Amino acid sequence: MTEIVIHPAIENRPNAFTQAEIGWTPWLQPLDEAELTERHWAGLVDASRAKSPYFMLLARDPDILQARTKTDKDIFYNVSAGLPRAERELAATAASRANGCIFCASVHSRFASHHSKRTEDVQRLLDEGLQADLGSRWNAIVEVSAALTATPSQFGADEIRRLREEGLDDLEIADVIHGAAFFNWANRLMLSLGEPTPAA
Amino acid sequence: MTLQNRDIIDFLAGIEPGSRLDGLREQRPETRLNAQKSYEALFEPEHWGSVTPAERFAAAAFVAGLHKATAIRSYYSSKLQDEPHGSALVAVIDAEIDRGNAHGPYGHYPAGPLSREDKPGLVYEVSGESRNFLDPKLSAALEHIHLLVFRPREASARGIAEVARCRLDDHWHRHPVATRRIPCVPDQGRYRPEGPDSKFRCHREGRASLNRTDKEFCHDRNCYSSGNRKPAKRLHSS
Repeated sequence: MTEIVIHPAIENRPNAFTQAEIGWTPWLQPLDEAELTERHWAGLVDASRAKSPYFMLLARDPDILQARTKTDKDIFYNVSAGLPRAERELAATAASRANGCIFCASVHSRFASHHSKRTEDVQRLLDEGLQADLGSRWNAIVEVSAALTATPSQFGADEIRRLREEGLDDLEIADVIHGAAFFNWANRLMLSLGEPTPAA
Repeated sequence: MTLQNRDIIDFLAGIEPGSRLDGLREQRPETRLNAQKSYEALFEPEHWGSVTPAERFAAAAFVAGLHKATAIRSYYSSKLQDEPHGSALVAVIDAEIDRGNAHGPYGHYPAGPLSREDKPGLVYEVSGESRNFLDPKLSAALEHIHLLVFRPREASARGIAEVARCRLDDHWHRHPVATRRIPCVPDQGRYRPEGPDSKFRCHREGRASLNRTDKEFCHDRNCYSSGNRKPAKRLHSS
């Protein structure tokens, strides 16, 4: 059954963390658009995601994909209250940096830069890693996201306290947890179903 | 367990209706609802596909055990206990959790500037003893799960191919008389292993099962799990 696995030949495969717009290519065959049923479209949530090989691969299990995508949107895009968008993206970037997902980190570091306008600080997180000094509040968010990313988890009351000392309220703390936790899922999907390709 | 007012996260985390944490979760309603739907899609699916309930609960107990999440491990172990061969499977998973003990994330990066951050760690393999009890599919699954938990950065197309191969070997193991025209497409929503009196169509290559979608896509991976299976010498997880 090895023929179902795609072995892409990639020149200059990305091997460092970057904010550049790198790509991603799957190791298993995504669905073709012509194959999609109503249930698949529901799983994709946004029709535009049918253009993404990643989502078209996940669409093989449309129920999980739909739950995944709706969770993703609520965690990152529901900004009616809670943590600023930039810091949700920072938590996602920190988890991706810790797990080593070069592709995920590229996407969400760009979002963190865009929403915070702190492109250089974000770049230092990518270059120097989780120890980079990004100022007290960002350091706390990065450290807490990394503690949650460790297995077994190193997250506990101390981490809650750390965020509270930085002035985060309950919902903002929950948003940090959600952002990092979601990317512990997403990193594993992206790392194990395909690999990054160079920026065009 | 009753989940009428509480979902799986409330249940496992001990969040009571009306509590402060309940109110906090309520502010991210889609997150809450869809975390539960993820759970249901994995553990209470409409169709179990080719991954049996026992295999799913074994995987979950293993993951929880590797995370040293005691309450969550107990929950999935008790679900596993209720499946065929449950006690033996729980014992095997317990032993493998001990064997797989590690602290992650670790692993190698693609060669380059990040190589200085490479962190060696356990490359887990199922013990010989457990391997004798488990079918090859579940053994391969546990090894892949351990990689996903601790060193996801080391995942590779070759590794995925290895998992796919074990899955196929497992089918051969279970159906030694079947020809190699193995993966079947659904017939009225049912899959059966190929046999002389079968009323279903089979593709000639494994490729077919992944390249195909149809109304019964949830059966997509279901070539192994339906009837006509004879008990094998080895303990199956189904």
